[in-house]
Amino acid sequence: MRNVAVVGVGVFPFGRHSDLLYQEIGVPAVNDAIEDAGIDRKQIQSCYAGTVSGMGTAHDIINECGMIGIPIIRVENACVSGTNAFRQAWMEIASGLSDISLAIGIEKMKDSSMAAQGGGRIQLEMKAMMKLPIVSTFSIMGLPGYFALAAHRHMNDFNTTKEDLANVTVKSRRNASRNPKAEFQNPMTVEEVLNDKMINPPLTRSQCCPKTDGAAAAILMSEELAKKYTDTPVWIKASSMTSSYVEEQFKNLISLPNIENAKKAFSMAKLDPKDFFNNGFAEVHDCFSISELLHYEDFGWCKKGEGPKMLNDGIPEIDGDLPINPSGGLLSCGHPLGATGIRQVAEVVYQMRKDKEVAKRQIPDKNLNLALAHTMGSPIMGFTSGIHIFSRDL
Amino acid sequence: MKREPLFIDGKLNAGKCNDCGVVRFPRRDYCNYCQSTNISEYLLGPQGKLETFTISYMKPMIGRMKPPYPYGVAIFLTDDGQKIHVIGLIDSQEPFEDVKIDKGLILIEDKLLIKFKMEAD
Ligand SMILES: [Zn+2]
Repeated sequence: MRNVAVVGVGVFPFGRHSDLLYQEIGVPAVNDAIEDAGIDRKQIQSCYAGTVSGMGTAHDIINECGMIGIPIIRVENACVSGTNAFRQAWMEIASGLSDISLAIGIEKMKDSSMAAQGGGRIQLEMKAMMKLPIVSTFSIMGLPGYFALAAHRHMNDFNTTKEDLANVTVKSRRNASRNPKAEFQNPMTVEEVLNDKMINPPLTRSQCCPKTDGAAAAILMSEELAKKYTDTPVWIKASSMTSSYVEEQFKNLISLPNIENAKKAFSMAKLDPKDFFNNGFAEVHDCFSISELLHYEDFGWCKKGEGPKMLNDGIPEIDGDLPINPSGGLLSCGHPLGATGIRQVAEVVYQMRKDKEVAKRQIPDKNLNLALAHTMGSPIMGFTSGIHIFSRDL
Repeated sequence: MKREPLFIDGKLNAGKCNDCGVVRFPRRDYCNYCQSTNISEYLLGPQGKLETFTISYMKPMIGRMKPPYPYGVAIFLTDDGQKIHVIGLIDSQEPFEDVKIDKGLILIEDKLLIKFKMEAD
């Protein structure tokens, strides 16, 4: 396979965009990525778009951007949709099919229910689903529920406290207060997080990522072209995915379905998790406060049960040994399902390049050699995990 | 792929792989571990233990449950010591003080939902 680099990225601010069409938030992100890459748009040979709800939206974006004729492929894989679009663009170039490929992530969620978001399947199958006992039982759980179950077991087994969980949101908001494209930029205290509206104990509202509108785009290139267009390519060292099923996942409630995928990704990049300390940073899927703590443990960055200690020791802070979610993550940026995976890639690229976009939240130079971007999702009753590892040097 | 009943004789209708011995609930045509189709009926419960729980203060994405309602994951043991994890609604009244991690519970037979009742302290 050929080496592949990310050369250009763009992000449309995450938040509420009720009066804008999908293409009106997608086009600026794509145009920013093209300008950032310094290419002529007619050089783009393929487009992969990650979106759960945006049927046909990539065609509208490509048409508005004057690139009609190239293959456009929509990718849906719940919260991993953007990561998957990025992976497909990587494969397209690694395989030699394209030399330059565009990955788009886009979602509008503010004005729809989660059921409508699911591309229609939930509504189409509602009657049949509710007659199937195992599905109707899972349906009582809801999205925060699964993570709340994990949080309670973690608290029971490791004396993790409500304050430990709230601290994840406190760090998230602190970082997002330096990110003008995040949905929530207001700092919060532990007390404010704990006194917020209860959703699923122990998770209060600000420990749950919001439904958000947003878009992001990335331009990927072959090694030969990347070296021609930029002095600061960001190399893709690993692209890894796994799947699992909710009934299997209940067997290990103090972990999330990413352990095998993390092992695969580190192995593909020929790295050990410990190689990231004082050398790298990460954008991980903090869909809920507990998720981020479990990722520290499941990715091998600390022992099982010591996620809260790692956070309380300051290791994942922007100036810590292993900065995690410098953007503010999903908890504060918001989580437009298809857009998140590509927004993370943009954060990785901006940080590694020391771009003015991240001037207020710049990670120190010693930690810019490696980066990891991760999303996980639950397409109805399955689970999927997507990880990419990046490096500054090939 | 056929629809199996949820309960048989007040117990959960699970499947045991005759080739590798793994028990799965719900029962399915293929074993996920050895891909065998040689699966026999294996009944779980009615006594189990609460592994973890939460309370929903939000309406569910689908269905008609009225919040707040507690639910959790229970462990049912097989004869050979396999732990089978099953999610279910917990039959309890606010403020749900009887719902505690690692406490015993019993299945309540129902046509449409898996339900548990906590055992007395
Ligand atoms: Zn088997």
